[in-house]
Amino acid sequence: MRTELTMKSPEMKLSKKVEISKLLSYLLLIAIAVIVFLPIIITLFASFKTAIQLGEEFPLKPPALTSLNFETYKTVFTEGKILLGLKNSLILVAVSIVINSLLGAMTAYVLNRFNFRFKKAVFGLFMLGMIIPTLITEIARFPIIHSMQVGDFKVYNTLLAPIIIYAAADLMQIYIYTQFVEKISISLDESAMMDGCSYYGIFWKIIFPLLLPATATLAIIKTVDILNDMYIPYLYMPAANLRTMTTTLMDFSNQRSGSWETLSAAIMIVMLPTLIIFLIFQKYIFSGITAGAVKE
Amino acid sequence: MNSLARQRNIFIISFLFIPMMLLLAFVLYPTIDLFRMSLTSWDGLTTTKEFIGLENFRKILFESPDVWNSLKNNWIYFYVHALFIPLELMVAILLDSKIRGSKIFKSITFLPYIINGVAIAYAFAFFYSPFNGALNEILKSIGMEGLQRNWLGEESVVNYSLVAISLWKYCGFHVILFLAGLQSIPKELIEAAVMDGANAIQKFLHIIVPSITLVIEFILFHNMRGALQVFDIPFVVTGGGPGYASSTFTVYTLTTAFTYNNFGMASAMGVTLLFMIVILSWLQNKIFHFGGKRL
Amino acid sequence: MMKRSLTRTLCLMLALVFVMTIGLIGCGQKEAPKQDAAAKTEEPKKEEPKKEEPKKAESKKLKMAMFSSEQDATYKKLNIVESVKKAKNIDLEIEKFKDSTDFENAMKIRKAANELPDVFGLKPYQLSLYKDILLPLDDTDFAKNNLYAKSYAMDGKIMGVPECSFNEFVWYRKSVFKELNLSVPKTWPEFVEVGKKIKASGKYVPLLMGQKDDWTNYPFTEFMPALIANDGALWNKMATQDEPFGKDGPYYQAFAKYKQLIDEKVLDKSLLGAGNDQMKVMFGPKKGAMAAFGAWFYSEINNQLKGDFSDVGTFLLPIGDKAEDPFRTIVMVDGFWATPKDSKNIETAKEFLSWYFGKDWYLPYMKDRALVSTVKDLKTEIPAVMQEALDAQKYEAVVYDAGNDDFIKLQNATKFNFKKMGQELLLGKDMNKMMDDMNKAWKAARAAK
Repeated sequence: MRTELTMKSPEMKLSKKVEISKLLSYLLLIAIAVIVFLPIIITLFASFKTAIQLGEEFPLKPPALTSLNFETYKTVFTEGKILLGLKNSLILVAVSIVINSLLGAMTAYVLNRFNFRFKKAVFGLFMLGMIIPTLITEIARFPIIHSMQVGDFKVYNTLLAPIIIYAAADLMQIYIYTQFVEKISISLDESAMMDGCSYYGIFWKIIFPLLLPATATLAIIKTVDILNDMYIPYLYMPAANLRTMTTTLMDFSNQRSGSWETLSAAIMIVMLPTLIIFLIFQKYIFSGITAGAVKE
Repeated sequence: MNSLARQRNIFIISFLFIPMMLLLAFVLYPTIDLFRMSLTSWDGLTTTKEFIGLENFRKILFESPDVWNSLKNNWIYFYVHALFIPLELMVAILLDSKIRGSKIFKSITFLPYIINGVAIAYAFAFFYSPFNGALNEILKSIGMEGLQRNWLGEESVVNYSLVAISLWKYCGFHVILFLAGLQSIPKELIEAAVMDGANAIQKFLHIIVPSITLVIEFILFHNMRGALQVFDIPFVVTGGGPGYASSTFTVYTLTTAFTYNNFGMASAMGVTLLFMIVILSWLQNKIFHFGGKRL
Repeated sequence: MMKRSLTRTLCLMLALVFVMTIGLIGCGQKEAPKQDAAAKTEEPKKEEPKKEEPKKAESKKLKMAMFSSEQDATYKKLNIVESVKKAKNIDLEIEKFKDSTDFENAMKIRKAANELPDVFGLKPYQLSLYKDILLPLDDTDFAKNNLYAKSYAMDGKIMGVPECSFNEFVWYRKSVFKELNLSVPKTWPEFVEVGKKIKASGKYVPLLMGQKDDWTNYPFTEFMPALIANDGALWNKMATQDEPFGKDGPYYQAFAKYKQLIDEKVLDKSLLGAGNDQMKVMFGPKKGAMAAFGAWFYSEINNQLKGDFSDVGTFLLPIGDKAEDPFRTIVMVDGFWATPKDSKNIETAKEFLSWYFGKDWYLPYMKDRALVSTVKDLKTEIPAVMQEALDAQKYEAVVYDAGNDDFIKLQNATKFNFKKMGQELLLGKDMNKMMDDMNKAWKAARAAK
């Protein structure tokens, strides 16, 4: 009896301690959730209010459901042509994913499986691509894109310009692919070689299909990156019919004539695609981001 | 054998040709051009670029207090982010424990990193507004009027307001990185330690910390690079103002180029930035690997 | 030339190798479908943008760049693309920029790359920056018929033809003035007094100036020095002086006046935390009493108040100390249409501009924008709300001139920025020190030249 009692009391103390720490943990996590959602919710509310309500009401007061102001969203779709932006963004995303996954897989494969002269130089180049402050080299990069043309077709001010730039310097894709290539046993290459497969055959028939998970990860991360990029499309595609989602959003923020409620609606719509992608493909995003980071 | 070797070489060249060309044309060449321009007084308009040697660099080092003031603001981004690393680690440990709902909270924590940066910068500009802005109104509604500030209009506050946006956006990313590091620790290792009677602090110091030095190193590297290059947040939210109070090195560089037409000077600042990144990365690497060997 | 052909060859090689890499999958015949799939990936890259080029052979193409959103709104409303297609068979492609800053940045880069649009509208101060690459328009009808083009000529040549002129106003809410028993100020001290009284009421922001955007102080920091000097080309004069920021100079005096608004708390630091987009929307709900903006603010109020101007008044900003002082006001001439001399479509550009300044397009366009015509025989009326200010006060117009080359060089060398100086004054920086520093920098920069 006595021993039982003494055994029990520290246990109870312990469980109480666990309870409190659990409570604190939840409080912390809930606080984080509140901080994360606060600016988003305020913007959502603002997007349904009129300019006058915005000036007068408490920002966290939800708009009255009976008098939601849908004008803002209408403006974003009609005058703002946000769907055109979505279309352009999606074309950029689709083409870039194909090019980047091909180039990324090819490079990673060659760098992982073969030793050759200048390998270090090649690595060095990729490293350079990573440390260069791109915003600033744009001054020098711009004239190059400008002078590029095939026949009469000029690259500047077409969707091709950002596609080339997105393809040019990105270590992330090589990191992700290298990790996966490392896991594929070399014996697989060797046995295929025995069967008379060329190097090309090995890569396209055996390696590339095996890299599908890496490609999926890359595709999703690229999608998010490209959808969110403002600088490249802005600089290289000024044409009104080549606006992307983000550059369309910037049009709404015009200092002189912009209005906060319409901008809010535009913000909400622009957030949407990446949010949806995130909710569906979280797993790939997490694995991709960590793959890129941990490798270093 | 010989033909195989040739095949091999053709294969390597054909696979690396495009990526190499892209890198040469769009990374290496612009970089060289940047160095070249940094030695001129080019104004971005004339066709001739007058060579002036290291004059731009001399001016940056000795005659441009504004440049160094901007760099001070970059420092604020760095150290505040660094101060948040323990908290980030704590949250990661929390999410790694078997707490209920950890998956949902993981998603929530990471959410800001995914969201369109320009969109969120605009949202925050209004969040901080002194006229019916959400932050001041919230403070008022919970009776903390004393804490109300002119978040973007005061020199002493504006940088921290902007850093808060950066924290909002990137902390979740760091948490996820820590989490990945934690999850890569073999479970047996921890169980064995617990069996041996290690307490929470010992567990933390001897198992968790060594396993995630790599992640900490990466986060510090990411933080350093990010802090040196902060651009979009101050640019979109305050335009570097009021005055030059929230200007950062990159904002100041682009202003030099585009507002004051001094592309030569701006290029020199770009080169300076490049050197700073290289030197600091190297230093950080040294420090970590020195420490690593001792452990 | 060399570079261009080099890059072209490079591109072709790139494409070739790309196809080769993917095509050379040698491992039996089975992978034929894969080859297809891989080849397809190449296609969209190369062909997609090609489709966008229209194939009509006869029509003339013209690229135009603009940044003003008011302009854009009217273009859309009156459908400029279709109108010019119908009238002149010109396919107009419009490139739009967010605001003048972005426009300037993009144009600078594109100028360096020799890739400017065929026609674009410049701000007056941009004329001297671009004059070397622009086509002189002296021989065109639309330049000859323009009231102001000649006075903005660069080295005797007309480089840009302005599309509009407009006045600067102080817009105010009549009911607020009535409630606080205020009358329209006729002198600067009266203006400061009006501001003080509105501030003292505690109900309204006296002057809606979203100082997070530095340009919003331009009526005071940019125009007032020119008004005090009675010289629209004050910047050019300052470029000839060693120390133009001294106490007896117009620039210093203008800032001293502006500082009164700050010292009297008519303007306070809270304005630094909000942008123009946040502040201007306070005019409609009557949270602010006044706003000092040009005629362009008309369309903004029109939107906010749904066309009801009954409670809106305007007056010209008074700058004189006494009622007997001459009353001067700035007239802005803006939207200088120009075409680069390297453009491949010079004739089309001229044809377009002469159509643009013709009555069929110009009159409805100016009417919609509520601006004053710059074309000799085409008169436009401005809305009554603005006419009221012009009728109420006898004034001398000072036509604002942008700085010339010398000024811009000095401005760049000294990083002289009146907008930022205005912001810093509001922040509480020491004005005398600011001016002293500017004088020193100015003198040094002039000596270096």
